[in-house]
Amino acid sequence: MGILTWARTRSPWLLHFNAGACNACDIEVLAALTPRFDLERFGAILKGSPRHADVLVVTGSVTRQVKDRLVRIYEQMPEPKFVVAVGSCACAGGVFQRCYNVYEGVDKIIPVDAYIPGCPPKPEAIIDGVVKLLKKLGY
Amino acid sequence: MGEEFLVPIGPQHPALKEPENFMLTVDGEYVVDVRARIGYNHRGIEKAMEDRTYIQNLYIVERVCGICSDSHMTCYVQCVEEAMDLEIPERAEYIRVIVAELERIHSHLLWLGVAAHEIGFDTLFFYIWRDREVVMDLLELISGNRVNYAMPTIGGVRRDITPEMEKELRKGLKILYERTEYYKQICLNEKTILQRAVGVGILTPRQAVELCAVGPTLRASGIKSDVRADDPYIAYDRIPFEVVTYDWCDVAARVMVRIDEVLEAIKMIEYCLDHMPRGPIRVKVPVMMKVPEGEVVSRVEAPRGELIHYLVSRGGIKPYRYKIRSPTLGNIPAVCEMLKGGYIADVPIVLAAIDPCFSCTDRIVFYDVGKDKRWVWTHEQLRRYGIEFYKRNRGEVR
Amino acid sequence: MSVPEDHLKVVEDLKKAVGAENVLEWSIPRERRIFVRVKTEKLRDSVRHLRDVGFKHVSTISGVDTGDGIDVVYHLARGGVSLALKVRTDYEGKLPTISDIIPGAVLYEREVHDLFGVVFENHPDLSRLILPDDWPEGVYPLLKKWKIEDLRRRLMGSG
Repeated sequence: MGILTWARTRSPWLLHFNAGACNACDIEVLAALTPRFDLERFGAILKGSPRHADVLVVTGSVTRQVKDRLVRIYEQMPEPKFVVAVGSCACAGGVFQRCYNVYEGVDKIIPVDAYIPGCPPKPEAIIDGVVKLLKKLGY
Repeated sequence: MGEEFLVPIGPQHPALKEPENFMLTVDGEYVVDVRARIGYNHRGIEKAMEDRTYIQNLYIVERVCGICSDSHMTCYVQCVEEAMDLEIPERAEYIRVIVAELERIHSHLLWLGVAAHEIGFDTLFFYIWRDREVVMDLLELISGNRVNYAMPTIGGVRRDITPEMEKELRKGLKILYERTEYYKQICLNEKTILQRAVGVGILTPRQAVELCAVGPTLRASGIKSDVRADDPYIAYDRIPFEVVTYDWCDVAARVMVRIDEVLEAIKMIEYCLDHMPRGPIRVKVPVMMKVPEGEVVSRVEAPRGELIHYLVSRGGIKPYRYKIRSPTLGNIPAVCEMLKGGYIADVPIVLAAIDPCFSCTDRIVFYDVGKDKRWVWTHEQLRRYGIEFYKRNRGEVR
Repeated sequence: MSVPEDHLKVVEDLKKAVGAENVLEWSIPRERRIFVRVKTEKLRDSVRHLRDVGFKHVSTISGVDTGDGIDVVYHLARGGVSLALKVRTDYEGKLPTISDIIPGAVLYEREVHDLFGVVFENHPDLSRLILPDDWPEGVYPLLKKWKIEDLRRRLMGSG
C-alpha cells in the first residue's frame, strides 16, 4: 500500500512540544509543514491539544522547568500514543549534556518511540523519521 | 469570592518557540499590568562554558539560540580574538558579514511569517516561509547546514565562498529582493494587517531609551541605534548601509523596520561580493589555546538587537567567566510597558512584535481585577481571541 | 596605542563627580571600551552621573565570583562606547538598586540575584527570573563553590 493511501485511511495528529530547545529544531519542524516539504500530504496534521494527539513531537533537552509540563501533556494524551524525539538534544541532551538545568534527553522523562538525530535534523529527515514511525505502527 | 478556573494547558502552537510566562492583570478588555517570568529555556550554559575549552565552547555558544546562532558565534569569536590580540584576514571579515546578513534575512522573514500567523493571515505565512527557503538554500550552499552554520571560528571562517557559490548567491538575492518588496507593499496596504498593527503596542522614544530596548523594537520608536554603525565590528566600518528607523512607535513600525532591514541586508551582501578581498580565510590557533588574563566586552547587532558577551580570563584554556545577554531579555521591560493600556486581543501581536527569542508563551495567566477572576489561557486560545475580537470590531476600534 | 581623548574625559569627569579617591582603577584597552572600578558606596552616584553624561543604556549587568567576593559589572553604553562599571560586594551581599535611575536595569538585577545571590535593595520585584520555581533557596549556581556535578546530583538526582 502506498504511503498516500494509508495516510488517507487514518490521519495521525501530531503535537509539537518545545522542552527547552534552542529553536533550531522547532523552526525545522515548522518548515516541514510549509509547502516545500509539506508534511501534511502524509495526512499528519499538527494539532492544538494533547487530548486529540496521537504523536508527541518533542524538541529540546528537557530543562528542569518544563519537565512537569512535558509529563502532564504526555499523560493527557489518549492511548495509543507515541513520542518522537527530534534533534540531538531530545535524543540525548546534545551539546547541553552535563549542564546543571538539563535532563539529558526526552527518554529520561517519558518513553520515546522514535529518535531523529541532527542538530537540527533537516525537514526531510524529520518527515522521514515521522513517516517511518507511522508505517511501523500500521498507519 | 472570585472564581478561579484553569484551562488545561495546551501545547505550543507549531508557530511558537520556547515557552515563557507572563502574568497579566486585566480589567475587562484592557491589560492593566504585566509581570514577566521567563526561564523555561534556562539550561545553565554560562556555567557549562567555564568547564569547557575555548574551542569546545564554540559549539555550545552557537546553540544559545538556533535562529541567531551566527550572531552568538560571531560575538564569541571576536571576543576571544580580542582577548588574544588576534587579527583575522580581511576576507574572513567579509565572509562573516555575508553570513551575518543572510541570517538577518532568514530571521526577519521567519518572523514576518510568524507575525502573519499571529493575526490569522495564514496564507501570507505560508507564502513567506516558502520564499524564505531561498535564503535557507543559500545558507546551506555556503556552510553545509540550513541552521547552525558554524561559519565563524577563532581566527577566521571555516569555509570559503567560491565563484560558483557567488553566482548562486547573487541569483538568490535578486529573488529575495523582489519578494520582500512585494511583502512590503502588502504590509503597507492590506487592511487586515494595518488594523492589527497601526497604533498598537505603543512605545514612546523616551520609554524605549529608559527601558533599554534594543534592535528593531528600539528603531521602530525612531531611535537611531545599531551596533553595526555605532560600535562597528568585523567589516561593518567598510560597508555602506542605512540604519533603518521609523517613528510610528507601533507594531506596524516594527514590521517595516524589519522589512527594510532585509532589503538593506541584501544590498550589503551584494556590496561584500563586489568588494571581496582576496587571501586566506583563517589564521590557525592551537586547539588547546590559552587566552591571556584580561577581560573583553564584545557586542554585535543580532537580528533581534544588541547582543553582548563579556569574557573574564585568568589565563588558561577555559574561560573563567563568560556572560551572555541575548537581545530579547533587553526588550522584555519594554514589551511589558507596551502591553499596558492595550487590549487583551493585542497581546499576541505585541509580544510577537519584539521578535522574542522564546515563544510568545505557551501559557499566560490572567487576573481580572474588576471581576476578581483568574484564568490561564494557552497562546493558541489568546491568538484566536485576538482574531475574533478584531473580526467583531472591524472598523470600530482605533 | 593612543587613548581617545573623549574616553579619558569620561574617566576624569567621573572622578570629579564622585571624588578621585573613589575611583579605584580604570583602563581603556581600545576605542569604545572603558573599564572603571568604583567604591561600592559610590555606585548610585556613579550611575547617575554616567547616565547624565549620556550613558543611558544598560546593556546588561554581569556577576563574577572572583574568589574574594562578587564583582557586579554594570555594562553601560553611550552610542558605540561600552563602559563597564565594577563594584565589589560580599557573598550574599547587598547593593542598592539602580532601577529607579535607569528602569531598564530591572531584569538584569533580578538575574544577578538568581545566579549569585546578591540582594538589590529597594528593587521593585526580586522574584525568580530564570531559575525553576522549585530551585532550592540559597543555591546560587554561578558561584564557584558549586560544581556542575554537585548541582546535577542535588537537583536532577543524577551525576
